[in-house]
Amino acid sequence: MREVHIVLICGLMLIVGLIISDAYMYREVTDRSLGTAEVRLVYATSGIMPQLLNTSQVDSFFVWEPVVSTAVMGNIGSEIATEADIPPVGKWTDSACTILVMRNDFIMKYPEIAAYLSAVTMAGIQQIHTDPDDAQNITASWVFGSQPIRSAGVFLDPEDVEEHSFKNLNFTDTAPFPGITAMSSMEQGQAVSGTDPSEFLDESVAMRAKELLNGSEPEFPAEVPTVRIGYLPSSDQPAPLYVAIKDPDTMYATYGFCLKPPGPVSGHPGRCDLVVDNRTIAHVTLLPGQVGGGIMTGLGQNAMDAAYIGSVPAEMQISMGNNASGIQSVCAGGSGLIVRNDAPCTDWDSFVSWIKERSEEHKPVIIAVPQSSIQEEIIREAFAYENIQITLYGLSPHDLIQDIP
Amino acid sequence: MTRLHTVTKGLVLPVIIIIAWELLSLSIHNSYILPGWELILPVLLHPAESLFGGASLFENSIISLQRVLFGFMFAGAFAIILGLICGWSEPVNEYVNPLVQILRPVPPIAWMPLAIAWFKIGFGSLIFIIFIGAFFPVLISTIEGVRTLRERWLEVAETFDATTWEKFRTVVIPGALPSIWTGLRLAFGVAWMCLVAAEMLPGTSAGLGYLIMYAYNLGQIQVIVAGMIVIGIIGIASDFLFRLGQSRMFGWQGKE
Amino acid sequence: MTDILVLKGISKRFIDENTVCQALSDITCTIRRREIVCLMGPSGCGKSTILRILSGLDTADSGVVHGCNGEKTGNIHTAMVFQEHGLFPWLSVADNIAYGLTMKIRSRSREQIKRKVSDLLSLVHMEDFASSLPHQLSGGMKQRVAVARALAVEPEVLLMDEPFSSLDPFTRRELQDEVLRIREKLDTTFFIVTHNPEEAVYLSDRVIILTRRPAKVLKEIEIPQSYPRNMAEPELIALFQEITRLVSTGST
Ligand SMILES: Nc1ncnc2c1ncn2[C@@H]1O[C@H](COP(=O)(O)OP(=O)(O)O)[C@@H](O)[C@H]1O
Ligand SMILES: [Mg+2]
Repeated sequence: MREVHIVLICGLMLIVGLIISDAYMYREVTDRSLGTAEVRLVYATSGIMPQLLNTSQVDSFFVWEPVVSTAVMGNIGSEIATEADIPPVGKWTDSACTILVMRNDFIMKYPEIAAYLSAVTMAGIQQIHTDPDDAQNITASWVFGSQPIRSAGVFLDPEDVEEHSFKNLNFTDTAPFPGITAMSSMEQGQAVSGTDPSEFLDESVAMRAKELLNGSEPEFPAEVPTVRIGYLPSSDQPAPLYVAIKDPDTMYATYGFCLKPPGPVSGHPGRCDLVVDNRTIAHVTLLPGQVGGGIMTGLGQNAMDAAYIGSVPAEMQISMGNNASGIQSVCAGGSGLIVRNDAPCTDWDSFVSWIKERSEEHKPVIIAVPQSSIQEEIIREAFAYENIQITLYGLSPHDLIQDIP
Repeated sequence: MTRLHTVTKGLVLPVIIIIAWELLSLSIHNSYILPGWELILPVLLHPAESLFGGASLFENSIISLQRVLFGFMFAGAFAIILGLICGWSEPVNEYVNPLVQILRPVPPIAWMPLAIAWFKIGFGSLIFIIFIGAFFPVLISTIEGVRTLRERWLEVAETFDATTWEKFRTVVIPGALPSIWTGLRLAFGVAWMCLVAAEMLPGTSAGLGYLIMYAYNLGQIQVIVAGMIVIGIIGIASDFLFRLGQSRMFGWQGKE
Repeated sequence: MTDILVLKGISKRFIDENTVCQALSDITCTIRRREIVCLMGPSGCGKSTILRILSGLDTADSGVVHGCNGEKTGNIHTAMVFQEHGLFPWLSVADNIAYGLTMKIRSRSREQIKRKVSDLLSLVHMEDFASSLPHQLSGGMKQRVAVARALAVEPEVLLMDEPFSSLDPFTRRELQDEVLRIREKLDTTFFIVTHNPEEAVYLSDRVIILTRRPAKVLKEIEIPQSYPRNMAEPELIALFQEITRLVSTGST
């Protein structure tokens, strides 16, 4: 029977170990300063957020379009605020949400190609403003395909969703880059009290792009490189890119350059050519990603040359040593705060009261956000402003506390 | 002395890799591709410092270990009980075995969407994924252990008028233990590997897998490497403990 | 001497898928109290089967086994020593010996078991190895432990199936002497299957020889000599030769 005893003792030791480690983690929780209201954040990918809300696993989520519109139109939840309504009021209203980023050595090596990519983006933005209906349809088929999408029991027409979504989006190449404070001060050893947008902006590319848009004589590089561009295929924000690729003829007719897919255009093409005056000057490969941070890491690893991603992950990583620069904004707006249909709130202020109420009942409101995204930064700054403490949801049986700086 | 020698031999390749790594990192000079040890070591040497405003490396490891142990113990307990029953009773096994064979090849992480729906984001779904990963190795080696018991041992018990339960307690369980133990050892390895995948599920806010994902999104490759090293060290340490237990408890194996 | 075990018309057949194997047909014999009886016969004739029926591991198709007062098999108290793999490798020597006593049916107190185990350890000269594990013992020592374990439950008849056949000649002789000594001390009755005529002649009061399958009793041979026996004696040599002939030819 000796062996059986040893096994039992091992099992017992495991249990004791669990209890001790659990107590250790619990210490973190009890250290928490009581008194302030508490809200919980949970990191999730954008695609799964409607499911989480619909199954009551979260009370709310804050994410980009078209996930917001899908949730609203699928009647999964109601949108109570956009970034413009969230304090500090005004900060996010017209600031860049998605930007075009490029690796510095790419800019150095192929300045003209970099400028053309920026010019294509600006032209795409122009095209969206010229024909918004067409842009919505293009975006709809890029993000969702042609089939109706199913959302919590109802079928939605992708074009209706995009029509709803585009009201939330302001495509512009002139939006100022926001400085980030909440997330950058979370970084260990990075005692930055906020980022300074001018530090990672490279305005030369956009300036040259404007010249090209105005008909400046192109300089053709000797070789035809392949440019790898990262983007989030589940988001509407890169719409200028979608429009450029799906409707290259309009752009070519206007400006004499375009991004042309090799074959007939359907679905979302993975590659296309940068054509100027009937000449291919670069091959472009599109690389889809899950979150902006991951794409920025790809840039740092020389796996990509340029990307359409959120301003926040881009600024975060550049401030931490990623050798890349922001070129221009692509759009402003495009984030929405969704709450459960039965939530007793209609705007940001009533949302905050609800959070305080639930915090007193020791059932903190749970909000899902994409990790290290602009939405995380907005929500963290907002709760810092409201003096509400953020804890992270989903830690062992207990939760680890994060003090808001 | 010979022991020392085997340890030294085992260290040769890692040391070569560490040196080559450092040399390469000096020549590449891009911490996104190959962070040097001057970046990795500080992370490893300050395990108690908070990373990215969240848990420290040490806390992340403890949390991961805790999750693995939790899922592992659940899986172990269920799998051993079911395995003993299936190994003992052929009819039960005929019912259970086809299902086991169908479910076994499914990678644990494929359960992720369902796990989130059933067990909610966070602790529940993580434990479930680890459970799935650890369950089958234990189950299969328990069944195997009972099946390959020496008929003679059961006959001996019978000649002493053992009841069915006494046979189970005094022969089946101790006789199958070495095989069960091997199953547990394999399962712990699998559970530990599933964890990294499972902690990349939404709804985690700490743990080594989470830390690696988070560090990836922030481009902090040196933290990823540090996390990998810790995962490896915990893996090798647990395997060592299992082997130690094996030689201590089941020295008779293969010599009976 | 009183009869302790009476086998009457025992027969047994094994049916495996399509093949029928008639192992025993009409075995009739008697074993008396305090006797050492050796059971011999050609390989595969059914010797082990007889022991298995006596120990309750198998049941006979027909025939009866009587105890001293005409009881049925189940009530005759037997214990079995197998040729090999009989010890539990995860139990120490002492725990192996105690094994039979821990069964609920015998409900012994911890104290009683402890005393009994230490008595048996000294009976088989294994005191120094009480806490050893079986794989640390030699073959002869293992069989000593197996004998002690079987004796622990105080059987009326100790059944042994080729107990010493895998031991070297010196160890085998040692253990044969041990059997004789135990019989002197405890008055145990032994029913031993062996394929070694020399062992039968050295050890037993009587040898029962079976025919080929389907087995019947071919002949019973009394060995009237007293113990300890000198194997060089002509009478024993003659018996040895006769037994060898009977077993190998299978006829008188
Ligand atoms: N469980 C069984 N199933 C089928 N046949 C068996 C079984 N056990 C024994 N036999 C057969 O019965 C015969 C006698 O076996 P056994 O008693 O082991 O012989 P031995 O005299 O060598 O000990 C053999 O021919 C053997 O093949
Ligand atoms: Mg036999």
